[in-house]
Amino acid sequence: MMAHKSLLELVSLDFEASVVTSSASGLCALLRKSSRLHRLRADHRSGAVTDDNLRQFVDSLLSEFATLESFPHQVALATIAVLFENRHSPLAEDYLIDLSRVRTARLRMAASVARICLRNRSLLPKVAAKTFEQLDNGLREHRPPNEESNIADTTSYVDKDERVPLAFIDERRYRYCSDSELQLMR
Amino acid sequence: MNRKPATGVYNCFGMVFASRRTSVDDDIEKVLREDGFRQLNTGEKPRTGDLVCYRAESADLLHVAVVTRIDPIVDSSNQELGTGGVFALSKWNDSFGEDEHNIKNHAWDPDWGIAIEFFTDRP
Repeated sequence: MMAHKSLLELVSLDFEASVVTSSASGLCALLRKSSRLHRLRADHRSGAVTDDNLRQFVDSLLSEFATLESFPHQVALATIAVLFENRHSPLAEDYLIDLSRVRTARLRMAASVARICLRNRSLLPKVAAKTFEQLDNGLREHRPPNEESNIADTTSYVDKDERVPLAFIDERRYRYCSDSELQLMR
Repeated sequence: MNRKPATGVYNCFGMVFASRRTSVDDDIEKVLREDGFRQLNTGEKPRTGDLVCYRAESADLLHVAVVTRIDPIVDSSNQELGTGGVFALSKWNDSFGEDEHNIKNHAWDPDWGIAIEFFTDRP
């Protein structure tokens, strides 16, 4: 199956050149500014790119790992790591943990980026980014297409006049986010 | 101008600080400090052998290269008027070899606010 355009863009040479650096923390900084990551993030949020698409895409990249002397897709893998940095889904967890554990020179940069993302992720508040609509008879929850991965980078609303991000307590209860949590969300 | 083909054996920091033998990833600021490099003062001109460092807005050090030549600006009587282009030798990443380039020629988005700094081990 053909990968989505915003995924295919990640393996282009001009994208790699646009974020070229020898430093993993530098690559994270550049990727966060990259319009390609912003596009991928938007497509992932909207459901145009699903977790399954991402999984298949990564599998297809890694299928070249055994045959190529130097692995050319580290930037693509690192970009997906940064995409997952503030997403809480089983795929995001597995991806970041697995990639961060890789110890091979051919994946040195991507693995370092995954370790940085994991470290940053541990600083994120456990915020449930559920979106609510104020109705006459109560609140209605909106569920985005990638439902599992909807934490920490979108805003929840409880009031139609004042939009208030909510922190997750358990499945049914929420509290208002603290200022420090809001800072981290932004 | 390409000098060497792509290799993943060393990165830019390895080219500069480890004689092309390996990649260096961590504590680059510490290496600079402990190897006796200092940042050039305002108005101080770079010389061949100095280092040019590219820094992101986030303060992360992105890349380091070695100044290889500095083209002077001269008048018709060959009198030096000032410094023209500064060229450096770069090893960009695993997919690129070594290139000599004008230090202003890089692929980063100009809106990203990448800063260029010079370091030297001269006294």
